[in-house]
Amino acid sequence: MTADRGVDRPDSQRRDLPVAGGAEADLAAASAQLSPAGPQALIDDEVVLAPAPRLRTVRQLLHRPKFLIGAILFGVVVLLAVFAPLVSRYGPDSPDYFQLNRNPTSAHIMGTDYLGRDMWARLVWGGRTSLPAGCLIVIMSFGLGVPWGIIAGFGNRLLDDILMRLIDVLLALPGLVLAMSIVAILGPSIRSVIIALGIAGIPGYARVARASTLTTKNLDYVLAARTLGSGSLSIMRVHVLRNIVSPLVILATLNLSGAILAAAALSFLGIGTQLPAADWGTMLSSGFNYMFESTAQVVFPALIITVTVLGINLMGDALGEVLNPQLN
Amino acid sequence: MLTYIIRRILISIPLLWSVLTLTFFGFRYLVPGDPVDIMLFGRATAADKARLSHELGYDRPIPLQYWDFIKNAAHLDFGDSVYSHNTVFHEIAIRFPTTLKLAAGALLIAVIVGFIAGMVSAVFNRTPADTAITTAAVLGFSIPEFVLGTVAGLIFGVQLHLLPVAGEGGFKFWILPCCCLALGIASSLARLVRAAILDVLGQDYVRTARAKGLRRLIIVFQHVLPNALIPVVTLLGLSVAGLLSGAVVIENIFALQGLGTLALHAVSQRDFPVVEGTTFFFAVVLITANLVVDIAYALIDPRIRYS
Repeated sequence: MTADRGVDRPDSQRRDLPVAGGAEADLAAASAQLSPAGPQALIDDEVVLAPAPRLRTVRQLLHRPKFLIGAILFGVVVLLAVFAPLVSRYGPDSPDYFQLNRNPTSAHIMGTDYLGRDMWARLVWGGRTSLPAGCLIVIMSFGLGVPWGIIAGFGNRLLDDILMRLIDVLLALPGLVLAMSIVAILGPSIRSVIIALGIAGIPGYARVARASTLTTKNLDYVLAARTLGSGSLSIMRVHVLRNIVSPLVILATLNLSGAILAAAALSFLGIGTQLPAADWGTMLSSGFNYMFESTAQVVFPALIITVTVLGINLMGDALGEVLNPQLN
Repeated sequence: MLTYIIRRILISIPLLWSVLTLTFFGFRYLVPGDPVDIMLFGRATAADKARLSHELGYDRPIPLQYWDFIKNAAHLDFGDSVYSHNTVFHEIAIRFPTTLKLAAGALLIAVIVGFIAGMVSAVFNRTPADTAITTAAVLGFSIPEFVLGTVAGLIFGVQLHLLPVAGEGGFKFWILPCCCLALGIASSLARLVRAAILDVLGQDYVRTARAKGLRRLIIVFQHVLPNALIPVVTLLGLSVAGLLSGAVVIENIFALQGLGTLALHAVSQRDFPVVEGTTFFFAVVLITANLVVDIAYALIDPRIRYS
C-alpha cells in the first residue's frame, strides 16, 4: 500500500492540466471518503486507490490528438486575450478615418471596421469580454445550481417539490428567450446578460446535483457522519458536495463553450455588450451590416468564435471518450 | 392513454401560472427603477408618465393588477404594445406563421439530413464516409447559428449572388434561414442515430437475424431502425427549445418578421407588455411541443405504458 502511494506522488504534482480542478476535487473527495469510513477504507483497495483512475484519465487525454488540438486552439485564444496589449499595435477603440472598411493590408493584418478600428486589436481585446463573460456565467450557474440541487435532494419531500417545480418553470422557456426576458427586466448590458444566462443555466446543475445527492445521502459514511452528530449543513458541505463535485466540474467544463456562445449571441442581437466596447458578438453583427464593403469584418470574428468553441468542444469530446470508453 | 394526455395537460396549467406570476412580479418589482419611466426611456413629462401608468393599470392596487393580469392572460390578452399601440395578441398572431414556417422547415431538413447521415455513417462504420460524416457533424455542432447565418449570408448572398439574404418572399427566401437553423440539430441527430444504430447492431437479436441469413438491408430496416428511433425522439423533444432559441437569432439575421424579432425589438425598446406576451407564448409553444413528444414516445415504443 505504501509503495503504491510512493509511486503516485510524483504524478500528482504534475496535475496542472485543464482538468486539474476535477483532479484536485477528486483528491479532496477521496480524502473525505477516507476519514469517516476509517479503517474499513484501508482494507478496501478501491477506495484508497481512488485517485489512480483519474491519473490514467489525464495520461489518456494527453495521448489523444483530439484533446491536444483542442487544448492548443483554446490555449492560443486565451493567451492572445491575456496578452492583448502586447500583441496588438493599435488600441481597440482608436479609429482611423482614412482606413474605413478595409480588407487585410500590411498595416492592419485583419483589416479595419466601419470606423477604421483595427480588427486584430478589437478581436484580441474582445476576448477579454467574451471569455470572462462565459466563465462568469458558468460560475454563477454552478454556484446557484449545485446548492439548489443538493438542498432539494437532501431536504424533505415538500422542499424538494417546491425547489424542483421552480426548476420546471425555468425550463418552461427556451434558454435564449428566458435570458432575453431577464435582460428586458434588468436593461441591456453585458452585466445583465451574465446574470440572465447564469440563471438560465441553473437547471442543468441543479438536476445533476439533486440526482447525485439522492444516491449519496443514504450511503454508509453519510449515515456514520449523522450518527456522530454532524448537522445537515456540514454533511451537505463536507460529505455530499465533495463526493458529487467531480462530474459537476466536468459538466461545467463542457458548458463553457455554450456560455461563451450564448453571451456572444446576445451581444450579437444588440442586447449585450454595448458599443463601443469590443466583443466578438457585437463585432460580428456590425461586420454583417458592412459586409458589402469588406468581407474581413465577418470572416475574422466568425473564425475566432468558431476556433474557441471548436477547441473547447474537442477537449470535451476527448474527455467524454476517455470517461465512457464503451460509447465509441 | 387518454387519461395520460389529460393529466399531462392539467399539469401544464400550474406551470403556465407560475411563468405568468414570475413574469408579473419580475416586470414590476425587479426592474431597477420605475418601469413606466424606463418604458419611456426616462425622457417623459410627469403627465405622460401618469397617462401611461394609468393605461397599463400600474396605478391600481397590486392584488387587483395581479388578478386582472392572470385573468386577461387566460384570455390571451396582454394589453397594448407601448410602441405600436396594437394589441400584443395581434402582434403575436401576425408574426407566428413566419416563425412556424421557419421552425418546421428547419426541423424537416434536420430530420432528413441527420437521419440519412447517421445511418450511412453507422452502416459504413470505420470507412472514410464514416470519418467524413463524423467530422462534419462535430463541426456542424460547434458552429453557432449567428456565426453560421452571417457567414452563409456572406458566401451565398454577397459573394455568389445565389440566394437572398434578407426579407420574406418566395421559396428562395427560406432556403438559407431554414438550412442554417437545421445544421446544428442535423449534426447532433447524425451523431445520435449513428450511436443508436451501432448500439442496436451489437444486440443479440441482430446477431440472430444475421445468423438466420437475412440480408443486411432487411436487418437494418426491420430490426435496427425501429429500435434506434427511440433516442431520436428524445433528441427531437430536447431540441425544440434550441430550435426556438435559434429561430430568434436566425430571424434577426435574415430580417424575417417572426416572433423572435418581435421579442427582440420589445426587449431593446423596453416594451414590457409585448415581452410579457411573447414570454408566455414561447412557454406555451415549448410546453405543447414537449407534450407532443411524450405522446409520440408512447406510440413508438410499445414497452412504455401510461396509466
